[in-house]
Amino acid sequence: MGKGSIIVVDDNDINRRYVKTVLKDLNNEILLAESGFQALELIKKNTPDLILIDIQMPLMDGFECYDRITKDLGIKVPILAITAFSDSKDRERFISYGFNDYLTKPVRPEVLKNTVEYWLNESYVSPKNHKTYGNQDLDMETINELKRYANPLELNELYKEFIEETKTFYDKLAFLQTGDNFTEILSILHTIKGNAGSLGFAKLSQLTSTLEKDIKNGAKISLPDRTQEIIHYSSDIFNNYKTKLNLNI
Amino acid sequence: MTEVDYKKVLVAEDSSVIQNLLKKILLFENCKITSAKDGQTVLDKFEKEDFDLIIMDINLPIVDGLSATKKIRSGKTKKSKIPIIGISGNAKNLPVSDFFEAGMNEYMQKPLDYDKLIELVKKYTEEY
Repeated sequence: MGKGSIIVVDDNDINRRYVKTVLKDLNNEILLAESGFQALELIKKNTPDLILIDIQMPLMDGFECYDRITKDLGIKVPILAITAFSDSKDRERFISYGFNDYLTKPVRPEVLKNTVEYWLNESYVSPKNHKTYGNQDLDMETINELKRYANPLELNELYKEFIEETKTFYDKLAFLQTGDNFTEILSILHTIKGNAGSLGFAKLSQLTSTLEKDIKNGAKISLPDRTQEIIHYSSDIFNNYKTKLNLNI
Repeated sequence: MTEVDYKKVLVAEDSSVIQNLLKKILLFENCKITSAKDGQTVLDKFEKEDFDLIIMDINLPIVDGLSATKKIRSGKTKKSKIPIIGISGNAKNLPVSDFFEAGMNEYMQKPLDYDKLIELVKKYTEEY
């Protein structure tokens, strides 16, 4: 694991030193910047592994600093916001703006440390969530990992159970789509997405994920058509998963 | 390792598919699994029994995983310091800092990385 640096951008000297003290156990080099301008200079010299940005800064605020780092410099490392805002609207604003995470002041030491550590690990080992499967039905990496922990017979039991549960969900979806039961529909899609992903059904996970997002964003879609598409796709893959996974027993 | 030297893990997860999956995988680490499908059951079982570790989904019915974690951490005994690993598909797009704020020791995003999970289970059952 390569240990790079963390850049902390905050106009307040005490805050900068607090963050530096809390993060010193991580053994990353910690560079402090008093302003967005200084941060950009530091980043140009050396790409850090993670950047922490205070939102309320004079001249260049955290949002502008974020834009310049990601758009002008094209840097793609985790960027976390630190802010004194705390109401729920602001909370959503940071994530939808593009920040990977945000921390609300006052930040407890262990929360700061754990959150930074989480994102450092996320960027060191490219996580599954950021992987693209193209149009592949299966994520063989996940499946092979599972095969190391369960024998084909046990694995087959798990897949059978998943298929049964998913089919029950499809029945529920067919029933729910006649009314305005979006909360329940979203919850079902979310479960299928997670389960399918955990078992290596990459495309199914992606299909449900896309539908989940479309519903959340209020996109104009035909729910029956989209549900039918997923059900249709599933019946294909559910019928021949044993062959595809080499689970013939 | 003697036969009784197993780790007691409470798995809080409402999907039975993931429950069984985790059971299978954690058997490898000599873990004895107790299942809970909602947050209230987690709290009840946690009261009655002693565990070495909790693996907690965030989106649990009745009491969600974050509230259950906060409730456990609010205790005054040594038991309230039990390691908690949060897992979630993060439907609500919560910041990861929220999970740590609630008192979770670790957080893993679904789909699960099984090797990483085993690594974390080892880390926390060995030091606790």
